[in-house]
Amino acid sequence: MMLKMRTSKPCPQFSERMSLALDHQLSAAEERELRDHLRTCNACRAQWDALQRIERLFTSTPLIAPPAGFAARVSARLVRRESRQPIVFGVLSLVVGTFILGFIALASVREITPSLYSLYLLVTTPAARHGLTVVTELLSLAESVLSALRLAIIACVRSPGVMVYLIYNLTVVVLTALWLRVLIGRLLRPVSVLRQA
Amino acid sequence: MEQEQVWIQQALRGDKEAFTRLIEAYQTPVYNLAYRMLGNVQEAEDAAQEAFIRAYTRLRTYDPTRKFASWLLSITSHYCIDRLRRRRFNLVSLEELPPWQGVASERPQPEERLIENQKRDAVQALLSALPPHYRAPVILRYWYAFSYKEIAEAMELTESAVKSRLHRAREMLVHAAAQADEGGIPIIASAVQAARGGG
Repeated sequence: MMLKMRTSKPCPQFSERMSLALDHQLSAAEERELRDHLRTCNACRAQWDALQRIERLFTSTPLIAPPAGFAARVSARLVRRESRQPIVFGVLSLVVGTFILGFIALASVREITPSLYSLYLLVTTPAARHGLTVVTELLSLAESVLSALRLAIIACVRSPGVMVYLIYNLTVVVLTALWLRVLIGRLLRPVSVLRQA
Repeated sequence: MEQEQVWIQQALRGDKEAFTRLIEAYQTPVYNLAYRMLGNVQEAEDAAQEAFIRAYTRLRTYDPTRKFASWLLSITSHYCIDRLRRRRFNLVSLEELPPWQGVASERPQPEERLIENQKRDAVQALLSALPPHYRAPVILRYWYAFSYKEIAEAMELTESAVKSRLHRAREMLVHAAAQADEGGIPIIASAVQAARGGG
């Protein structure tokens, strides 16, 4: 039967050589040896014919081009992707930044961690309570660092005067203002990009 | 400096127009690779788009001593292999659909077009018989005339691994063709026809 592609397994020692021959990787002597073998071995010749037929099929099939407007669709997707990133970044930084700034500002005035304990009354599930404990522990660790700073500030306020305390608070205000400027810029940029698009 | 390198430098500075020029220059090779890997137009479009977006976001990692096309096709083939691996875990797999039915149009067509479609479907049917990491080297070898060294670079393999994958892949292709032939699916008939047409 003409379409029957393989009757039995090709010889293992020539199987890889056929693949190499298709890629023009054999020396003249190796190629001659393969050709001699193909003349005498039916299984290998059937394999070789099948390989060549598949090779011709593949090499005669051209590259497929994408549907019209492909480049424009990729560009639009790129703009959408980039505009989403600042929003995610903006919201994340808003939360983290506000928290850190608030913490620094308030730490100079009073203790914050104990107020979190009241949240235990609202939380009932063990997993959530465990989470809250971890957060509280992290906060108290951060607060011990800040309380050292607070004590230093208070000491400064008592001795050289109110100026140091004022400078500290002024720094917090300036940092907050700079922070808001960056944040507003980040949040507004995607809107302007979308308008342009 | 070549025009392509100029576009790359401009794209690195955030010039989207320059990157669009690069997309236009390489859309056919990238799309073709995605189509040959995935076997259907919708997924090929999505994967080719994603490959370009990944290239844009990783443009800083591109080494100008390498061919840009190789780098781009490397990103595309890795992405398609990942996608095919994920597809295995999907409940309804597109791979389960015979690609020679999924791709061809059912409208009556002129004979030439019909033969072209048959050929294309035969190619996809054969390629779909290969596991993803065997499929990619075969496509890079036949449609892009990549050398063993270029395939090895694109797929992060050794040259001897490429050699052995191509060998194994070809054995699998012959096996798939023989099986389809025995099952009465006219893949081989198409192959023979293509061989006559092409040779």
